[in-house]
Amino acid sequence: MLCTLLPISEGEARVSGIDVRADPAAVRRRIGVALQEVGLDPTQTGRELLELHCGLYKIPDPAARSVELLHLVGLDEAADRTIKAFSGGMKRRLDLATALVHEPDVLFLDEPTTGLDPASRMTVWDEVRRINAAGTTVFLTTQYLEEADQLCGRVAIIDEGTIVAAGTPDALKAEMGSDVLIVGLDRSQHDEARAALTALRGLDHVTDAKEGLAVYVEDGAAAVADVVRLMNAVGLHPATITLSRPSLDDVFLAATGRRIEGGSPEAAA
Amino acid sequence: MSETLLLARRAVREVWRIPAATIPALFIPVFFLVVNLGQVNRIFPTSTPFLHHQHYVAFQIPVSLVFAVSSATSGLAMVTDIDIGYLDKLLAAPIRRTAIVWGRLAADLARGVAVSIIVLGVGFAFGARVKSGVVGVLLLIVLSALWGVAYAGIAIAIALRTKNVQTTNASFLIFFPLLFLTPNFVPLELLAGPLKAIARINPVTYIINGLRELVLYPHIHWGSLGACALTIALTGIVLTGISMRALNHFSD
Repeated sequence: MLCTLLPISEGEARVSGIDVRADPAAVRRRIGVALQEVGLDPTQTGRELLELHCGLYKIPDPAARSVELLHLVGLDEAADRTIKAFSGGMKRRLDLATALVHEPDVLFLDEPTTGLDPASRMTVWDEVRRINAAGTTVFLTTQYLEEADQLCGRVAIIDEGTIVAAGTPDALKAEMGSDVLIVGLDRSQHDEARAALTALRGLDHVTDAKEGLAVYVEDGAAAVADVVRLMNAVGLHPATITLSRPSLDDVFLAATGRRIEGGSPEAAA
Repeated sequence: MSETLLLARRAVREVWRIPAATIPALFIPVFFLVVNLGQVNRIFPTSTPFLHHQHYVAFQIPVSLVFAVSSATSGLAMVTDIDIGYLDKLLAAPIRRTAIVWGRLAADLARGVAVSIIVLGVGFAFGARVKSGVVGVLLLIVLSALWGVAYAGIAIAIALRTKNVQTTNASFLIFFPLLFLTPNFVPLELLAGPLKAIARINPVTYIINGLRELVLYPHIHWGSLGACALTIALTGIVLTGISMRALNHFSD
């Protein structure tokens, strides 16, 4: 809807101060869009496609701008190959370049690194950081919370179509207010353990996690010994205890009650 | 360069780079032409009055031309753009949506010209001659290609409405009754009553007759040529209008 591809079903939306419903054409002039599915014509070369898009956005010198963009995304050498011969990472970078031809105010990126190898993912991350540093607002939708943590100034967690948490990654993690101890227990032992842990000093809260019981506590390192003692006292013997600082995964878990596993909940920033 | 020309250039490049998308559309009409000739050449010798001393192939050439250019290729290209997400990219660009359809139709024009030249070449190889000369040949190519453009709107509209490759491809079948309920084998006056009545209201009849008179007569018959051009224009306005409306209402 924000990209003007779908009609607004309800309410109001503004992009770069423009009412999307009232003036979608003005919104299109100010936004760049790189959707989850790489939208490239495989029969064209990288250069031809960029020159086409420069033309569509009325860029004064499409050839020069295309060279600039090809260099920017590291596709100078592949410029004259047809896109169908590109690897997944190259396609993703070219897709990003097509979204940047007119130096948009706002760049919408829908899961830009899905399906990429780690090296290509890092390249895209670097590119997103550079674009953002150059003054473009980046609206990133992702299922990778680490990606949101690394790239985003503000994060909103959407669950079932509703924003359930929003803020800077640091603020969201700070709201958790505690370290996380993942106590490796069988799920059938969780209730008993939960009851025993009420006596833990500095305890914030306890939730079920895939790997065991997630214990949110003020000082994780100091609490490990107490957790072991409390567990042993009720005859439980955790297989593992893992200490970590709260991550956006923990924020997500706290906000939605489950961990992200490529399902519907999304993070956007 | 205008957005329509830019998108047209892209679409023409696509036609050039994927000949496999055009060749099947060309193969079927040429195959029909050859088979028909093999079957009826002896029944209709050059002395047959409606052939005007030409081989039967000359009578059939307009049918093959119309058959060859009436394809679902642009519709298939559109549904591919939808599938790969490229149409979304174009829709998010600050361009008139009509330019997307015009770009596709430009490819149909280029493809129509190329295919018409090939079909005429096959006809010439089998002994057909265009009695109205070079002007007639040029008119045959241009009118056939324009008919291809006019007819392409239907497959584009189906592609946009259904977003389905199989359905879009099947839209090609719509043309079969349109083509065969015409004076395609013999002149209109020799058709049986009900078929003659249907053929009279079938727009393709006027396309075939207009083109056929260019092949069979040394002088251009402006009446039938005008009817042919008018039918192309009206078909184009209606079907292109439908496809543009489908694009304006397009959303995933």
